[in-house]
Amino acid sequence: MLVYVAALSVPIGAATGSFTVFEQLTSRQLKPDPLLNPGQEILMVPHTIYRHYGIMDLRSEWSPDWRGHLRYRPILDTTPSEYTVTGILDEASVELKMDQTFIYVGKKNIKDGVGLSTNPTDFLGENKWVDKTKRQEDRRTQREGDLVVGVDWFQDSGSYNVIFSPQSDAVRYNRYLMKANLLIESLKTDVSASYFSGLLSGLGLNISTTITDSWVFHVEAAYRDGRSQKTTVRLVKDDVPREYRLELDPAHVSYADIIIGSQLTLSDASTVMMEYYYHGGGYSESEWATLTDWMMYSNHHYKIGLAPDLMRGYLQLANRIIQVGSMRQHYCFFRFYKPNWIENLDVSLVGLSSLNDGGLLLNPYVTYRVNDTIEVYGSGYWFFGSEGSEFGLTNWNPEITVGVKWACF
Amino acid sequence: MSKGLLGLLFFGLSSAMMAMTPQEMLEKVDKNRAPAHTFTCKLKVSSQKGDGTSVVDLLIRVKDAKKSLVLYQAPHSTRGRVLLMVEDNVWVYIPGTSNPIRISPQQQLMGQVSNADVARVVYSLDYQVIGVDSVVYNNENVLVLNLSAKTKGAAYKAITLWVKPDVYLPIKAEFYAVSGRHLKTAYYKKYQSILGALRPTVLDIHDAVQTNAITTLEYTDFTVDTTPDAFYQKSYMERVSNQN
Repeated sequence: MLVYVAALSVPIGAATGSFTVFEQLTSRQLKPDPLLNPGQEILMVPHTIYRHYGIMDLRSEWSPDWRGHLRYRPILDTTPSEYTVTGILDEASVELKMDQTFIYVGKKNIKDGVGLSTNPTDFLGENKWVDKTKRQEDRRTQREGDLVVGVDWFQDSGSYNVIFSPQSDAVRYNRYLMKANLLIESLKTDVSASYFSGLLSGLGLNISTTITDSWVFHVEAAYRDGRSQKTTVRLVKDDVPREYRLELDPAHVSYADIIIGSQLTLSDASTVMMEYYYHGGGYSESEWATLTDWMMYSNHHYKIGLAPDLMRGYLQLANRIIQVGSMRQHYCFFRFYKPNWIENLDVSLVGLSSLNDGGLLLNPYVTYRVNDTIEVYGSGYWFFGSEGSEFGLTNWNPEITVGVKWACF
Repeated sequence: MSKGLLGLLFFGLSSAMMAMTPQEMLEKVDKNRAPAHTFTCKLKVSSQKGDGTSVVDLLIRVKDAKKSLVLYQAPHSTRGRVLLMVEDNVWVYIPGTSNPIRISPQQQLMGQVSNADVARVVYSLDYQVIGVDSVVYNNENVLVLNLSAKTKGAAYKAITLWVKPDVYLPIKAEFYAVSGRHLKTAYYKKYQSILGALRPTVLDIHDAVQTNAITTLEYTDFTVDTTPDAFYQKSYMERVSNQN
């Protein structure tokens, strides 16, 4: 859609826009007695969620040098017991082009990192909620941006970025990000290096290279230094009942997060990708043992009626801090992807294994293109793991999502 | 004109041609395929398979023959996609995904058409001529250039290229995989005068195995147009996509 608008006192210029609608149903099989939600009494977990949402994207060009961008997501979530209406302004920014330099201000969703399973160098995007019913490549695009002022400078040899994100209600401290992006043509290798300043500062490195005509290798690494972002559990009083305290680890920490991965393209156009992820900031064996000990204690004593309100409070806290798939230190990720397996049908199978406790998550995904504007998709999550393992902590298993995506214009 | 005189004329022409090295012959063919080392054109890719036909419209920018930016303009489902090729390096950016990703040259984005078919406009960068033959094709004396891959980024192991000897216009090409398997055959058609020379503007690609699968590439709107080198970078691809 191309629209020329001459409005009142503010010329809008040439605008292009798109609007995509999603209708999605997620169904969960609730576990009868999960560790963190015994008897499904601690949390009211909906077994079905209808999500209706849209993505409105508007780009406006006021002159060859000035342009603006707006991206908004209205969302209606409906469960059997309630509904919520939200609107998220993902992006709203203005940009000035000066030859090969771009200066921008506003809200932008800045994404970094070559990894697929996770992105330790995505400093501005860390800790943000992402929709896990989406494929890995799509998750970070449907994500709320940050207030930023930035400069992107393109040279023949590479590009450079300097970004400042002031504190806000969501992030209560200033953040700075500087990046350099280069291509070493002779080695067929991209290199991107970054420096991030925030509460937990970091250095980032992204490398991707073509090994053969069908094999791409990548590394994404971050070195972090600063205040820990990890919630720890501490036994304050070993009494009956025990008193635990949950707190942000006050320690100053330094650690590395590293992804090493590889993607192979097969002769039938399908791809196989594997990644190893070391999460230095994850829970160590002893920290995890303390965490699971606390959760099991709370579960057991809630059931036998010892200080049920206190135990309920502990389990509610536990549900809040658990983020399955990113809490431990060693993971292995794989993905098999077959485009056009049958005409217009793409299929993929994702697996994520916790090498610390042997747990596994399987996520098949199918997409069928009905026509040029309509797509039907489906995905599922199956969790495998013992009660105290990371993937054994979910309150449901499995979770199935089906949806329709309609690109209206 | 007598047969003897014709033979002498052909021999004379052949001698003149043989004064050129085989690689120079290939470069001359490339000059007729692409109007300059730096240019822009539109490309319509129509893939026919069985009863169905899918069409993709692309805008291609080429710089120094080694850098290509391919922007998908239609249909709606692929609009905004960008393919960048710099030497042997290939990246794709798909709107709605996080970032541009490096892909292997073997990854194909459109049916029988590979990235190289679209993004690489000359053969001489990736292939060397290992043999030249003279044959009769469609009652015409033509040259056959046997090409072999010389770079890791070459999409095919070998190409056999039929060429009109006097004007170095490509007529037909057969493409072979590493295994030696014949993958597809392309027929160059609809020669038009563009930017000072006669050039093929249509390419019909026939799959060697699925014989009912035909892909047609139609080139139009050639202009000599310079894009800054700085924009042929992975980090610029999202901007290219947003300009669509």
